[in-house]
Amino acid sequence: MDTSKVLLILISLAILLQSLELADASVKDECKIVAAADPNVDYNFCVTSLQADPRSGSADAKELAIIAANLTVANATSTLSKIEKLVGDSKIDSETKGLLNQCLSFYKDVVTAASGAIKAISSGSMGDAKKQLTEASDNPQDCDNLLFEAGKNYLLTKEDNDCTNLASIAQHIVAKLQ
Amino acid sequence: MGLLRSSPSYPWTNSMLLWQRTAFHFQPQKNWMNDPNGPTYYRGWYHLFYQYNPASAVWGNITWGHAVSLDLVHWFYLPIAMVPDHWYDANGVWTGSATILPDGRLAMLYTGSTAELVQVQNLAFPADQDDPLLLTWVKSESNPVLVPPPGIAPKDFRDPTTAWYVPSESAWRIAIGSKNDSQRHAGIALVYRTSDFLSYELLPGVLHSVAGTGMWECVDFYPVSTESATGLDTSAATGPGVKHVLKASMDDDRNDYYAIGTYEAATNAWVPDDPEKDVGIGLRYDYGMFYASKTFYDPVKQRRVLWGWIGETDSERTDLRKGWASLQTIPRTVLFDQQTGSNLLQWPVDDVETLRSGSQEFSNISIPAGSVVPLDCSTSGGAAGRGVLGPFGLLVLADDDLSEQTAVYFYFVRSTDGSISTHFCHDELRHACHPALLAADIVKRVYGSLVPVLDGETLSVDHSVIESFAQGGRTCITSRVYPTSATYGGGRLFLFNNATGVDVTAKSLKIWQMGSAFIRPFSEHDSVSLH
Repeated sequence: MDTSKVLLILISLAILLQSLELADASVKDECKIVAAADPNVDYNFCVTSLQADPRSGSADAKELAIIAANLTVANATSTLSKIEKLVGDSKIDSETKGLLNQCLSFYKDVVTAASGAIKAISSGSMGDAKKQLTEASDNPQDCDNLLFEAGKNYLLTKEDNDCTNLASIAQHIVAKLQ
Repeated sequence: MGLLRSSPSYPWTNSMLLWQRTAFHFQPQKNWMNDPNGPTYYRGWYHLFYQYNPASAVWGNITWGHAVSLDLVHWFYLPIAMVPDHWYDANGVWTGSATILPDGRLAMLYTGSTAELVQVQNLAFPADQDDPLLLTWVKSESNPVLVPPPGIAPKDFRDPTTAWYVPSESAWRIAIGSKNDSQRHAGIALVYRTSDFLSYELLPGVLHSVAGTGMWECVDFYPVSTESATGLDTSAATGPGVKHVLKASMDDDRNDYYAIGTYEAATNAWVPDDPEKDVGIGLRYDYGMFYASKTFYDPVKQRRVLWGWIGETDSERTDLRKGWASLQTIPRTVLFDQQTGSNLLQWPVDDVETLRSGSQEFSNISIPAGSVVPLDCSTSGGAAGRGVLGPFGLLVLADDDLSEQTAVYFYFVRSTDGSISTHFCHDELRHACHPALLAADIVKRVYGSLVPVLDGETLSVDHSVIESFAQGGRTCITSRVYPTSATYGGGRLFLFNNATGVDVTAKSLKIWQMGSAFIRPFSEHDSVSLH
């Protein structure tokens, strides 16, 4: 075995591991800040959510904000299909279906707002991104309040909470970049 | 007995405690009072009900006390209007509001704390609709007319508002505050529709919610005119020239917050003009001791009138000793601030001017940096913290050597961009300060530089309570004061200027002495035949 090659590989590997470590620290740092700014966002939830995206390992703060906004879009999109299923469920009464239809439009707006925020972050308009992410974070709560009043918010509790949290993560990372 | 803390309290004398009773703020003869209830005008009389404990100077055994007045200033005590005598209000006849129907009848909705401590809404009405004094009340056979809806906690459902009429539905609506703790500890306002005040339908979707603000008590919801300096009936039509105020008392921080916005009955939605200054996170009616406030519409003088509960800031032990606790504010008119477009203006009702006796006028009093100017004839004293642009203002309830004093003052902060912000404060406690809302025109050019000009302040000093109104009523602060030597003849009034580099001129200052309103039990002599 050519020892110099092995050394090179070993050294490269060491360097690669090192930089992974540093990039991973970025996720942890950002999540520490977010958890401090928004007590509703659990630190571990933030880390796990961001790390689910493989690009988070080498992302800077701006890219992490985009990752969080993308996660928000993904969550809202899957929640939309869940809501549509519920609306089609014969076991759900018509009054609740009416409320769920309103939640549909809330979540459609989340998708629009979070997508718009991604564009804004990419072009450097952090103020605009923050506004859109605020809307993205408020709308799932509007849905929750709507269902809460009818005693039915258990239907979407987890989705509402997760979606608001993801948008909040994006929003707080963006706030730091302003 | 074992509930009283054993820490030593100040050795109040009877004379000091007796002095604390006010001359023209509503308070019962003795015992505990809190929220104003069901204020209304009815057949010639202004009515005030209030949370009242007939047995002690601390909260408990809550009934509805009752008083009437012809002018919102001279009040006459009447017998207790309602007591906890049914299972649906056995643990307290709590706060509620009056609605006057188009045919003149009065419907009173109030919260009952049931025998099981569940919060429900009940309907009461006068036993005799022709009695202008509304002495006796009847509780509806249908009570409770509202119980907490599914999902709402049994102790998060109280303080129904005055109803407003929606012509397109030929029905009324009321709002009730609550909270949603499942996600973000949001304060919310529920809305019910009713045509007879007996059966109700919960409208889907809350009127509004604000995350993080917690339980909304004493919700109030009313229209204001953005174009004329007049009050509006609670059922006034929406449209251009009308905005709606949504107000709530935050249980978490014991302060009253309001926000101005637009209401759309069809969608049961109210949207704040400025979401950054939403209910619970933005403007307060008053930056001092002021809670559980409620407005009503006075059809005689066409004004919206605000009542607020002023609690004590002394100890419970002292309250028990002096035998009473709490005051109501002088009723205030409420108007939309057409100059700023983003806040309300409050001012004591002008009826209180009838109490003025003597007056003294001062003009162009120069108050050089670091000086205290007496406004009668006593000696001056030292000064507290000093900064370049203030503080300066009045020292009230001060004794001769200023060992006791309560300061009502302003200070300015000039920021690097040259703009000036004004702060208005009570006491020497900086936490009673609030940034005063500055309008563009009140900073004038004098000798080539920008000089803040303050105009339109009024101060009411009535024994142990001070209510002050800055800049025409944009910023209000209420404080309780318990002097030990600046009492009876020992109280003095001073102007002071603690600024290090700025002289202040009091261009015009008027002091009125106020007589007593002689608030007393109603007697036959007071029964005047009216209208």
